[in-house]
Amino acid sequence: MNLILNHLDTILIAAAIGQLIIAGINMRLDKILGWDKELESVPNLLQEVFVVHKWFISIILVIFGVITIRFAGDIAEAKYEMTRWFAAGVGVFWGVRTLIQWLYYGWDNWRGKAKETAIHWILTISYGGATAAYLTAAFR
Amino acid sequence: MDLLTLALTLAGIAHFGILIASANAPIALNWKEALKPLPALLRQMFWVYGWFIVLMIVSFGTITLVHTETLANAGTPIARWVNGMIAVFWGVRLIVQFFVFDAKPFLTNWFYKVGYHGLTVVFIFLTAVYTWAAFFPNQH
Repeated sequence: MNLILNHLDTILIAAAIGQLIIAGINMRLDKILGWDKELESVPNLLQEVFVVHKWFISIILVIFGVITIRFAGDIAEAKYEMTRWFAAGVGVFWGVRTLIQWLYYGWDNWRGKAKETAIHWILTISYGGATAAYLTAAFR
Repeated sequence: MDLLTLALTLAGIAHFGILIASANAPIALNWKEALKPLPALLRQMFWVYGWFIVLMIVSFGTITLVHTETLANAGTPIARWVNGMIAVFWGVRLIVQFFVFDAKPFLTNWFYKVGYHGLTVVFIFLTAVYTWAAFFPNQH
């Protein structure tokens, strides 16, 4: 545990870089998965809502990433009450996302499919890892 | 209470007001029916995006109401960054309101019209207050 706490700032920076990468991938996700054509079957305003929500998820991840990189030391040390709150907020965000990966998205999206199963586990470990890192910083 | 602290308190409360409008959007736009033609994973993602936006709005409102003084007085370095990031979030949302969404076909009654234009005013207020707090916090 001490090893983790001693390197928590580095772990948080790694998590921040991961979030910046996810923010970039998220912006292209509909194209990567070929959903841009599927989206044309819903009303215009809903297409716009989807695109705007996609942007905002990426903006949120950039906010998390930038603040974490800028204040990694302070967050890791729980230097201020606000850094604790920030870490707890981001930790809850990724905790909920980890639960959604298992409890909301259908298992038939990945079960029995090698590539999708690999992606599912990579996402679970990444999201779970981010949850653990931020919650450790919040409650140390 | 000084003016910036009061404005931030109102801004914190306004976040929870926005949630009322957010809760109404899927009903007004009939998401359940409109999203039926989409593949299951894309449809689920649509909802997940929405929930996470809601989670962020709750977080912004909560952190503002719990740490109003810190945000108003730039009590910690991270406070100004948090203000700045929330200002960016609502600034982008304001741009979307003016230049991306074409909600006219859905503004079919006075309630929706008042709600939509009321939201625009709230977005302007939030962008202004957090920009103010980020760049010109109280000096003690």
